[in-house]
Amino acid sequence: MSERTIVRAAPVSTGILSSARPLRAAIGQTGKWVLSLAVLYALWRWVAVPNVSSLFLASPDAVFAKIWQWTLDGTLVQMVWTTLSEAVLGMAFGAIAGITLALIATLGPKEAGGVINPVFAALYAMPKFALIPLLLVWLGRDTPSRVIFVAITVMPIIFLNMVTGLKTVDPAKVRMIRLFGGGSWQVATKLLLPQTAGYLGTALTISAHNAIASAVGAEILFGATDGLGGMMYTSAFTFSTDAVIGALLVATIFSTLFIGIFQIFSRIGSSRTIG
Amino acid sequence: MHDTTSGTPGSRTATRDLPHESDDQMQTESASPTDSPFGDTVIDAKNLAFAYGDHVILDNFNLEIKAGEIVALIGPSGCGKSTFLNLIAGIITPTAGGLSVHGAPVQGLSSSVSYMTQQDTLLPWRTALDNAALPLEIKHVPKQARYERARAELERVGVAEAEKRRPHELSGGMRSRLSLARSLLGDADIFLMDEPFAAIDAILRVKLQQLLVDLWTETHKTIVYVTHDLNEAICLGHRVIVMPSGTSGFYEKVIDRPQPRDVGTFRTEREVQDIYAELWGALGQDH
Repeated sequence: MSERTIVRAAPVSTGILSSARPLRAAIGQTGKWVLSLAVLYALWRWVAVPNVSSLFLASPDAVFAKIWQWTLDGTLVQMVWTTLSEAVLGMAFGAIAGITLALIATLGPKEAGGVINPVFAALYAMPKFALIPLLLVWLGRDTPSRVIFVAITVMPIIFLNMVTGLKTVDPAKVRMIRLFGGGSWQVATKLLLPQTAGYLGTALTISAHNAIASAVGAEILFGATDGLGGMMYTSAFTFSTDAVIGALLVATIFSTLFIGIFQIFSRIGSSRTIG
Repeated sequence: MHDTTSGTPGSRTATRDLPHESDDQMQTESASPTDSPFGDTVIDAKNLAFAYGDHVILDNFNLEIKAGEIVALIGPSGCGKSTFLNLIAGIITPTAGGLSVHGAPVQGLSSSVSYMTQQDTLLPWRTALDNAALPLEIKHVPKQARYERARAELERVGVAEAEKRRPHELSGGMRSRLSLARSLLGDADIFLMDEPFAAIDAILRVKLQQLLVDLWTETHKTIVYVTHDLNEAICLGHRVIVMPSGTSGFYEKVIDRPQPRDVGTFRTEREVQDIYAELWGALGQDH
């Protein structure tokens, strides 16, 4: 009797069933996205367009036709390449500077932290688009100005997250590596970077969004003629709302993909620091 | 009373008479340098002092520890046991006096010392094997060779089957064994152990104490072992140093029973109970 009860009470779990669960969740999530986009398309196509002049709001058909045209004539690749390279280069410079300065501020002499921390607190709070007139005067309107602007935008985010992560490092573990004969490089590579990988992943994910937004914003504010922001800026003057909305859609898609890459990195980083 | 201080009467570092022992009796129980079964002096503290601001932790502290000796330090919280270990490791520097390891003054962290504390320092993102192999990795030992040696040490301490698990998947006892394996791979000849098994349940703690004794038998490392457990101090130590609170003097007891001891049975012997009573008195406690 008791054996029978135990058999009946045993949880039923097969490999097929357990692997079906995440698949079902993924389908459900995709379904929600499709539904949401369908509602947005319907509102745009059948509610907004009939009631707004085509001078101010292009139809979806016109927007997709414009994107298709850009794809065929190479404009799309050129625009995306310009904006993405500004975002990636800016992020790279911002990340290197942010991580390096966080290491100095946290592990270096107290005086260094005393100087660096307030600078980054101010930089984080500063309305960074206000720097564009200065960058325009100093470096002009081309790629270097935009890359530096993106770097300035992401640097405080990476710095502050890294400092928070580094403060979680147990000093006893630093001593342990040093007692085994490890130098600063080994402390950094075997302890500090793995320990702060989750924090860095989060910082890069937030920065990825900021990097694309800042690159596009900088292109618009610098009055550029290239990149996704440049396309939006120049098209607005000719009331080519199909091009403006088309560039916005492309920027949104690539920004989502860009953020997704760093979200994966962040998840891997977080899973490595469980304990 | 083995007094090593010239403390000022009335000050917090002044010595006091300890119960149950006269100076003469203590001298007969202390190991003299000539009849020591151990090697040369590896740790030598002379008039050692350490203070946090005005708060004196150690003052005029003198102690010699020989190669291959297990010295157990016991005393109430704040008496300076852990401070002494931190000074030996070079984590903190003395405010006065001298401290040498292998004949050279301690200047910063030294790789001849391995340090184990109650809170282990295993890296949570590494497997047990990778944690054990860390000291070899730092010394740039090739991957295959370091894994071979790490596997051998994991086998020796009894956690070979857990080599692929991460620390959070291990029990407290297994984590302690893993920390021991890693320390052994560090090639340090001095082990500083600050209550390494304090958070372990009583039965498992005895097993880990036995493991430590067995490892000592194979390696003859010099071990300075801080504990709050008198039984543990007596069972493990060749010498037990009792450091009462608020004094720079200490009480020293040589445990006249050769290692390796069977920790499980030795702790129940009448002799141990007598030593326990004697050291309990030295701690300034009433029965």
